[in-house]
Amino acid sequence: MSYYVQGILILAMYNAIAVVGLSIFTGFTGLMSLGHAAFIAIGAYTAAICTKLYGISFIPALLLGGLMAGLVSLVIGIPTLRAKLRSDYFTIATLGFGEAIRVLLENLPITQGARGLPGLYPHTTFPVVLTVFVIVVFVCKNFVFSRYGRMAIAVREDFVAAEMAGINLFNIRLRSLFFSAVCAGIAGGFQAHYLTYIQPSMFTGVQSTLLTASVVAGGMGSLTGPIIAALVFAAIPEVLRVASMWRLVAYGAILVAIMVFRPQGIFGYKEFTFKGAWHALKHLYEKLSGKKAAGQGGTKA
Amino acid sequence: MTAAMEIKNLTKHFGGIVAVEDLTFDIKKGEIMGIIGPNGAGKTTVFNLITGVYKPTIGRVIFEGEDITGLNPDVIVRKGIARTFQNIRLFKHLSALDNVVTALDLRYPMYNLFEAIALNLPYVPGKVKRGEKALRDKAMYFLEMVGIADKAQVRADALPYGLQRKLEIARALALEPTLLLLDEPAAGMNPEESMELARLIKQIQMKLNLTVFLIEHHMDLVMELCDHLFVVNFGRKLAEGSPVEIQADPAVLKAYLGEGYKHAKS
Amino acid sequence: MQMLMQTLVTGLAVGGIYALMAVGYSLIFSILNFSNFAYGGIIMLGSYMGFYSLTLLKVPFAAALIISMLGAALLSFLNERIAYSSLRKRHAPSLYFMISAMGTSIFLENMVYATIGSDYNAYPAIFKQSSVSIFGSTIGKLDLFAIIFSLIAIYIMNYFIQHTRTGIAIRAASYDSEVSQINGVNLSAVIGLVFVLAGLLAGVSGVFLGMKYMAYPTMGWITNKAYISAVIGGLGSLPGAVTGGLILGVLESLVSVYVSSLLRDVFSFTFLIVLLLVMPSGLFGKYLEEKV
Repeated sequence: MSYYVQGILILAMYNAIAVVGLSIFTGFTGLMSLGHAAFIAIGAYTAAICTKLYGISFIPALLLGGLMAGLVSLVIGIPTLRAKLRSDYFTIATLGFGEAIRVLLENLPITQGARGLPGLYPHTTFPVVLTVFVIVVFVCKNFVFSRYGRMAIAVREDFVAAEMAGINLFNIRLRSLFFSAVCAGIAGGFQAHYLTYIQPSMFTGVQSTLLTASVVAGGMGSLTGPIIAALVFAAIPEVLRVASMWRLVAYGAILVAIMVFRPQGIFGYKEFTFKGAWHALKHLYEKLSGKKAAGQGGTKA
Repeated sequence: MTAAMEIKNLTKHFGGIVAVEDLTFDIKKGEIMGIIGPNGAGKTTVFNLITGVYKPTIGRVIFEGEDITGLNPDVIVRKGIARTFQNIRLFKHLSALDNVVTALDLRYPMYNLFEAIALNLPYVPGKVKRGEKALRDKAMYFLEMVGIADKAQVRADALPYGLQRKLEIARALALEPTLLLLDEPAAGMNPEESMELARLIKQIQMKLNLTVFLIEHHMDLVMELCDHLFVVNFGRKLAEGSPVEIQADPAVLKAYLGEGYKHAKS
Repeated sequence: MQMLMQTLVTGLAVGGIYALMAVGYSLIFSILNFSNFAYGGIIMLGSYMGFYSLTLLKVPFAAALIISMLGAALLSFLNERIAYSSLRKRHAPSLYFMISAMGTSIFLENMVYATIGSDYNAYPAIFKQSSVSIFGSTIGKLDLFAIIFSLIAIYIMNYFIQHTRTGIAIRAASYDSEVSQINGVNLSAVIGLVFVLAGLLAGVSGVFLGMKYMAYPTMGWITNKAYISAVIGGLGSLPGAVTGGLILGVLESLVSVYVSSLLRDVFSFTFLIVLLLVMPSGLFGKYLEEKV
């Protein structure tokens, strides 16, 4: 595999790690965050400071970055999720949080301000990213298909009914948030040691929105969908070399279009299984050859 | 006969609007109690106050001797109260079976988070897979009880309306409550369907030894099922008594039943 | 003491613009019960329209203001029709509205980036940098004009909502959209109208922001201040939005002067979060409960 293709895959995979983590929070628990770039930033900076200033080796630094992001998520999550804020208040709070973190990063001495931290060692290699990616997807899959995933989905579907079915909203939401923050933090660590430098300007509200866009476009309630969307969104700019602003124009329009025409995204509420793919192809074939296709209900678990 | 639930001076104001005002009544253990009244009289608000969705402005809710006023809904459910909703609130994208399994988790948590994410390998049997199977089997039991076992794999929002209502009941039963609150369980049903539902409710109540508290507009069902009735109008108590007494109460007839109501329970 | 007075006055000046944005934002919130994250984009476009009216078309200031008001109103209306109306008809969950709003915001912001460019555009100096003395503090003529105009605009808006038939229809719809429909209110028309009104306010805000600072593609993010102002005053309340805007302006000014101007935005956001925890309904918020 050429370095070029490897590079795209590395980028795509660590992006996908952040996205799949966020999909647990947004796609499965139903809360929209516009500040997750802040968790990526925290992971990136923590890992970078560990390797650059303290000579800690990469994997521990990466994990520390994830952990740090997770801890900060508890700091913001405990007060905001406990208070049972309406969903848009919560989203506004995440927006505020994201911006506040970015401003802090621009002003703390240890993060060297707006200049950022250059000169990081490129620890992010294909095998490492691939391994972590597989582990993260495995853990996410287990989470989603377990009783915890069910709780999260119930909360997303109807939190009033979920509460009335004995589910503690705060617990599951906080767990989802922590989980998504850790994933974002790990992705940040990878990003820092792939680009070999980081700056606060890399972690803006737009980045946060794009993460959410990948989750939505891929399909809420699915893991496969957002992973594919993340891979596609990361690969496209490389492949097409289109100016980045037009890419963003397209993303914005795509988000609106998805909500208006196909809110379930590509894979909404379904996962890729071989049986499912076979059925989907059969369905498509039947439709194309004019036979009446019977309605099917997709089921989970 | 002990009281399963005591409601004392229950009052709820929303800004300037008085939803319920100074309601006091008891629900006896093992009985089927009904609350009736014109639309907007505050019946669902009473349910919401009991189940912790709203906190009362004034008043107390005592369940089996314990003051549960203002507790969070999930805590109240744990204590043994379950409900259905006036506007059906199923987990739409989940199958009927999964709707019930989700509720079973309360009483039967089969494994913890670490076991779920770290110890569950594909194609390898283990605690998680065994736990999931046990839950599915148990859920089938509740689906059978309400008669929709054959629809277990159907997505909840694909079910016909009447079966959705039954599914909500199955989900509530899976929480193994001692007090079951049903909010207009027969809404939208024709007379045959609602009689069938009444029989089902009676059957379940006897089998599981439940106390039932229900809101209904279908008078046939109310008169058939309920041991005791509480009538509200404009958030205030209008009358209380047995179905026979209520049918004859002039204030109730005037406000609610209308002059032409002829059904009499003997 | 003198510095305190000056700080307060400066704060009020900025607060006036925040108030203007917050009112437009609150207007939409109170009807549709959702946060229109695309509002910043509309304000930004209003600002650009004002800028080009003044520089390219070379019309007088009043005309430029009107052009940007009408333009923003139109865009706001289209925003609703394209991005939200089908969601509303489907009773989509609020998450979908928020995503659609964010999508619109990104689209508008980057459309400007890609077509016009990322330059910061300075408005021609209408008020010629001169200032006026009030209570011994100086306030720029521009700021004075902005705050007076804001208060007048808000007063007119409030009058419209409280005392005209259409205004009453809007308020009825905001309390209970279904019941008001039964009573003959054309919901789609009312909602469209609300967005138009919010758009008018957005146009004014855009022009004033452009004059005070500059016009640039990412200026939409300043609507974060509008959210905070609206939350302080209570989401859904128009007088609250005004009060909130003024309070926020003054608080920010105090923090800038007495603590650190760099931490001003951190303060605002922290304040927001604390507010949401301690007093989520704000000062005058409507009592909003989930219908069960």
